[in-house]
Formats: sequence, C-alpha cells, structure tokens
Amino acid sequence: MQTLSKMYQLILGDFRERTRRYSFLITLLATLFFGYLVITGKWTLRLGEYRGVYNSAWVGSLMGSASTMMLAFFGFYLVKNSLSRDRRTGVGQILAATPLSNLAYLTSKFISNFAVLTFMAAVLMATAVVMQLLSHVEGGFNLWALVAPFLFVCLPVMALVAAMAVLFESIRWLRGTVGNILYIFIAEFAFLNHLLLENPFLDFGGFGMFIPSMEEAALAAYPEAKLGIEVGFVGLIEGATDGAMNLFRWEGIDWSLEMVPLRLLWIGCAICMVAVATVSFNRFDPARTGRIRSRRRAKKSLPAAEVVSGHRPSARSWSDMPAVQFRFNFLRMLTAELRLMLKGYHWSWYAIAVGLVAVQLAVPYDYARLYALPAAWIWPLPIWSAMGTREARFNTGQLVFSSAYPLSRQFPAIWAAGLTVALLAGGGMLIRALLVGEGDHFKALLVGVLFVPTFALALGTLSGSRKLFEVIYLIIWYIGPVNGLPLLDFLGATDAAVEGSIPLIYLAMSIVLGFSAFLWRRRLC
Amino acid sequence: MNLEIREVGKRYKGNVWGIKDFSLDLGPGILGLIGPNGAGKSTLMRILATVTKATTGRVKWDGIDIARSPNRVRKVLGYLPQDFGIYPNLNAVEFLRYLASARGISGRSARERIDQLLELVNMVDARKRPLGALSGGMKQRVGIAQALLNDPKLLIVDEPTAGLDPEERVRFRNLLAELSGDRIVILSSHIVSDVEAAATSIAVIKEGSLQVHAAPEDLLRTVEGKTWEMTIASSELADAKQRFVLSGTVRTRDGVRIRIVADESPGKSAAPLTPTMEDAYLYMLAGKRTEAV
Ligand SMILES: Nc1ncnc2c1ncn2[C@@H]1O[C@H](COP(=O)(O)OP(=O)(O)OP(=O)(O)O)[C@@H](O)[C@H]1O
Ligand SMILES: [Mg+2]
Repeated sequence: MQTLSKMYQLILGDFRERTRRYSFLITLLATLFFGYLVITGKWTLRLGEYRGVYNSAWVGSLMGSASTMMLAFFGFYLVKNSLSRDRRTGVGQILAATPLSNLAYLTSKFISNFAVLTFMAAVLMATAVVMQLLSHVEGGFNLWALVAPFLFVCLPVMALVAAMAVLFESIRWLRGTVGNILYIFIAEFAFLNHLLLENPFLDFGGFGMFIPSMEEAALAAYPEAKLGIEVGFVGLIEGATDGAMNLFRWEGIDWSLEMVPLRLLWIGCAICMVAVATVSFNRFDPARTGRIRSRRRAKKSLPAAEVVSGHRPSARSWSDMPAVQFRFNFLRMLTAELRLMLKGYHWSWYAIAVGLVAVQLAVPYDYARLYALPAAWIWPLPIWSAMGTREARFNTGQLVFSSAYPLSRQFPAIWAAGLTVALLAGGGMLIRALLVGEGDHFKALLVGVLFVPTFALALGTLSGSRKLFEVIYLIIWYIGPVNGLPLLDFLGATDAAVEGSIPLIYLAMSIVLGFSAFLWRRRLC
Repeated sequence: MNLEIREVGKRYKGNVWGIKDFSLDLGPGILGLIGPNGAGKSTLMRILATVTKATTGRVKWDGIDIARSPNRVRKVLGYLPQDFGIYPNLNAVEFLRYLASARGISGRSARERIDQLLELVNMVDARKRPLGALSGGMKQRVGIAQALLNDPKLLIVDEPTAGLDPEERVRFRNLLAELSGDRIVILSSHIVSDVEAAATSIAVIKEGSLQVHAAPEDLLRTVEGKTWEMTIASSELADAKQRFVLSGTVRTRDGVRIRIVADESPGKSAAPLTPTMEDAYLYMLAGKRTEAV
C-alpha cells in the first residue's frame, strides 16, 4: 500500500514537472497542428486514387492511425528523458537511498511516460471530435467510431513506446545518441513495413484492420477500381492532388471485445520491458555510469596508496604568480572547442569514424557518393547535436558567459569546430569530387558541410537539448541522402538534387539558421 | 576603480523579488556579504557578474553601466558561481585552458598561470584526472582556480568555502588575504566566521535588502554593551527565545546558559560579555537597524 502511494507521488511529481515545461507547450502546439493537418486532409490515407468521405468512421480511424504513428515516432523522444533528468538533478541519488524498489521506480516512470503520451493522443482525438461536431458530417456524428481507434490502436502502442523509453534509458549504451538512432529504425520498421500488416500482432498502426475493410467498401462503390495504399503527407506522396480523388463511403469496422486480448498482449509486452529494464538499471550509482573515460588510466599513473586529496602546504603564494597577458587567439579557442567536442568517446568510435572516411576514398566513385557518404554522415551525430547545448547541459553557462566577448569569440569557435568535423566526415568524398572534376558535386557537398553544423547549432541553442536536432536530422538524413528524396538531400548525394538547385536552398537556409543561432545565443550571453 | 550599485532590483518569475532597491558603493578591498538563505546574495552576485540583468536600477564599473557594456567588466572579472558545472571528460588543466582561451589569455601566460594556480589551490596531484571523477570539494577548488585565471580586478566568489575541509578553508582564507590590494573582492557566506577574518567591510543582507554596510569594527561597536550571559531553567528557554535575540545556548547542570543580544540588561543575573561578530550579525538580522553606522 505504502509503495503504491509513493509511486503515485512519483508519477504525479514527474507528470507535473514535465507538463510545466516550456517544451511541453511547444510539443502540444505541434501536436495540435498535426491534428489540424489530418483533419484538413494534408495528411491522408488513400487507396490509390480512392479515399473515403470524412465521416466519423473515416476520420476516427485516420486520426487513430496517424496519432499512433506520429506519437510512436516523436513521443518516444519527448518522454525519453525522465531517468536522465533524475540523474542530472541528483534527485535520482536521493531516491536511490530510499527503500523504493527498482521495479516500483521504473514502473512509476513507465506510467508517467504513458500518461504524457496518452495526454497527447487524447488531445488529437479531442481535435477530431470537436472538428466533427463543428462541421456538417455525412451520416451523422458517431462518437464511438471516433474514439474506438484511440482506445484499441493508439493506447496499447503508447504503452509499448512508454516502456521502450524506460528500457532505453536504463541501458547505458542506449541512453544517448545510439539509442536515438536505433529507435528511429525500429519505429520505421514497425510502421512502414507492409509485410507486418498481415500479422495482427505486429499491426501497430492498425492499417491491417482498416485497409481490407476500406478496400471492400471502395470496390463496392467502384468495381473496376485499381487500389493501392499510401499513407502520409499529401506533399510527399507522388501523383494526384486531392481534387482528383474518387470518394466512397466507409462505415468503419466493428470494434469488438475480441480485439481486447491482443491489445492486452501488447501491454503485457510493455510490462515485460519494464521488468527487463530493472536488470540493467544501475540505480544512479555514479561509479557504474561509466561516463568518464580514461579514469582507470589516470589512476594507474598515481602511486598505489596515495590519497589524491592529500594535503600539502603549497609552496606557492599569490605574489609568485606571473602577470597575465591577454591576446585572444581564435585558433587556440577552436582547438579547445574541438578537444571538448571530441573527447570522451571510446577508441572504437574514432576508429569507425576514420574507417567511414577511408571507405569514401576506396570504393568506386558512384558508390562512394550514394552509399559511403551518407553512411559517414550519421556517425558524428552526437558531436553535432551537442553544439550549443553544452552550457545548459553541464551548467557551465555562468562561467562561459561571464567571460569577455562570449558572442564574438567562443560562439564562432563552436560553429567552426562543428564545421571542421563536417569537413572531415565528408573529406574523402570532397577530394574524390575534386579529382574527378565533378565541380557541382563538390559544391553541393560543401553546402552540406556548411548546413549540418549550422542547423545543429541553431537547434541546440534554441532548445538547449540535443534531442531536437537528433530527431529532425535523423529523419531528413534517412529520407534525403539515404533514400534519395531530392528535396531533403542536403549532401547532394543524388543527381536530382544537384540538378534541381537543391544546394542553393540549403545554402540560403544555412545563412538564415546561422543568423538565428547567433540571435538565440545572444539572449543567453 | 569603483563599483557603484544603484537601487538595483531583480524580479523573478511569479513576482518574487530576489533583491530590491539595493544600493552600495565599493572601492578596493574585500566585502563580506552575509545573509540567511534566500536573502538575495547570489542574485546580487549574478547581476554584478553580468550573468543576469537587473530588473531595475544600475550597476556601474568605473562609471560605465555594466548592463550596457558588459564586456568592459567581464575583461577584469573573476567569478565563482554558487553552483556551477564542469565538463566531466576534461581534466583540470584542460578545463582551465578552455576557459583561459575563452577569456583571451595568451597561450604562454595561460600555461604558466594554470600550473601555479593548481599549486595554489592544492590540486597538483589531481590535475590529470577527469573532472567528473573528482570529489565535490576538489571541483570547488578548480572553480576557485578558474576565477583567478585572469588576475581579476573584480573578484566575485559566491560561498567559496562551501564543501572545503577545514585545512582548505584556511588555505583559501590566506589566499584571500594575499589577494587584497588593488582589487575589489566580493565574498558571500551565511557563516560569519568565514567572512570576518578577511573582510575589510561587511554588508548584511536580508530579504533582498541591505541591512547595514560597515567596517567590521563599526559593526562590533553596534553591539557593544549589548551582549549578556545568564543562566535560566530549561523550561524558560522557549520564552527567552521569544523575547531576546539568542546568539548561543549551552546546557549546564543548573539549566541553560544563554547568550543574549539586547539593548538593555535582560535581568539581574545577566553578566555583560565582549561582543563577537556573530552577535552583531544576529542583532542586525533581528531587525534592529542602527543609525550609528
Ligand atoms: N532562478 C530563480 N527563479 C525564481 N526565483 C529565484 C531564482 N533564483 C533565486 N530566486 C529567489 O530569489 C531569492 C534570493 O535568492 P538567492 O539565491 O539570491 O539567495 P541567497 O542569498 O544566495 O541564498 P543562499 O544562502 O541559500 O545561497 C529567493 O527568494 C529565491 O527563491
Ligand atoms: Mg546563494
């Protein structure tokens, strides 16, 4: 009983802390905006050139799937911070010293994650209900048809996402950027893989339930129809505009109790994940966080029994101190920034980084451009995403911003350091392009070198956190350079991008972003 | 060299004033800023260090508004915040180098000074260990070293001895005594004994406003002839706490021996004592503002 009331307090405290943050408000607005896009048909589900009229069943199911997908992708990053906050603030160590069990603690975190996600989902669902109430609806307003997809599809998946966030935060190597990258691939596989639709257990977005029934309705209205499946933003789907759609009526599927056991199974999986998390959760023991490298080496260099804090009368006095000489040197500042950026990774990280550049030099030109280059540009993600966030993350702002000219000295050095890393990451390819005489490829890549660190610095300065950049970068990197959507190909890895003057867009964006980063930074100094 | 604080106020979110209508003129010397928790010491220091901007009022360094041209004072500023972070993967030398380059100290000068500063704060043995692996007091010493990097003309240290062991406290006090001379040092604490040895003047701050600013001797003079000692029964203690400013209690066989700061003799059995700075501080906090100083 006592444990339960303690857990309740934890959950409540956590939920309050989160919802009182400014970033929560922003996320809420973004969620509402997304809801608006769905309602107004900017995000759509279509069967080739056919789609249902926006009655309650269609809107409910569309909104149910869309919010599930959106929250599974982005909600994860929204909630994956509650253990790290406790670690950073020291609250974790306070809790660790109480009798609260690991399972109770992690379960509280799971429930509070789930509460936040449910809140977001409920906002989306409410948007759908309100919009349906306000507008004239064909076939009349049907509350159950609007709410059922939320209950049966969205909520169970949110439980999985909430548990996954707890699990990732409890495992040391999944806590940071690696986990953020891995999750995107998991989510992408879980939602965008059509093979999974066949298996009801793996049908996370609910499409496997809706689409066969929709197809039936479409074929009943247009017996000759050739159907397909497309889900997503209208702008990103190739082909016809909304006007050319053939409409049909779909009355929804029968929501029955038979669906409940399967959903319960998902929730069971979520609980299992939390249980697994207790195994790797280190209860905030700083000796087991392994954050600090080179610790062992440093210790070895000391005489075995020496106590490091041992007192010695200091031979020095202030009067011996040499006079201070001022001469600001940008190169030295840049070196210091680079050291700060690059320190603290495992040696294998550097080895792979070098390997990724070497591959660009070794494989045939087209392979280097299409595959090796994009691959090399995911590796420095943790470095870029830290740009502009370090003072907030490590609470060193008071020291740095009370130094003279922080805006004209230290800030450009951060930017230049990020640029240096980008130059290195694309270095192999830049040399190749020059040697082959592909001036356009060279220039396009140079724009990428400029764009990525500038973008990172802007988002880092704005949000004070690495996650915003990591999530956005991962998505554009995946859709653009990796999958070849020209508009998002900031590296100029595809011919379509280079020929379509996409690099010019990114150049302009870099300038705007650089300027914004400067202005945002100025607020802090 | 002077620092002019004029009617400075800082309003935080929720209409909380950290300090209000605060005025003070400072010349070279060490100012001890004392006050209870939440009095506004850190708020004032953050404003002076150009980390936050005052909501009202002006601060001038040598006649120049620090909010308008902060870099003027930042060039000669050393600041140790009350709570600050470090970069866990850097060691002390690398961390200080980083800050030295941000402060525009030339490479050679920085190297020499960092070596000597680390000796000065007794961190030579731990200089190559990652900061994330240091103890709290050791981090604090790195913080002290960084504040002295640029030989500051204005040194602001917020509870510098927090977390230091007695020996290191003494070391810091000696350092402070050496530092005085041609600079303004502002040092905060809520422990009187930390401040009284070094300070050339003392400011008591309470609920965001200045209670008194005076030389230590003058402050002592305010309680001269006002400090008493008497023994009472334990049962009377609660009542005595209500009526007098108590600056100490010791349990004895006969009851409780209490130390009282009061304008008049608190009773027939009371014997006068030589006042200490602690008595003066408590007397000030109790709200007895004295015009004499
Ligand atoms: N960032 C902040 N936001 C809101 N209120 C604040 C903030 N910082 C300080 N305050 C408020 O301003 C007042 C003064 O705080 P300050 O930190 O200056 O006190 P202090 O004298 O340094 O106390 P301590 O001895 O505990 O360090 C307090 O009432 C505090 O609650
Ligand atoms: Mg303070």
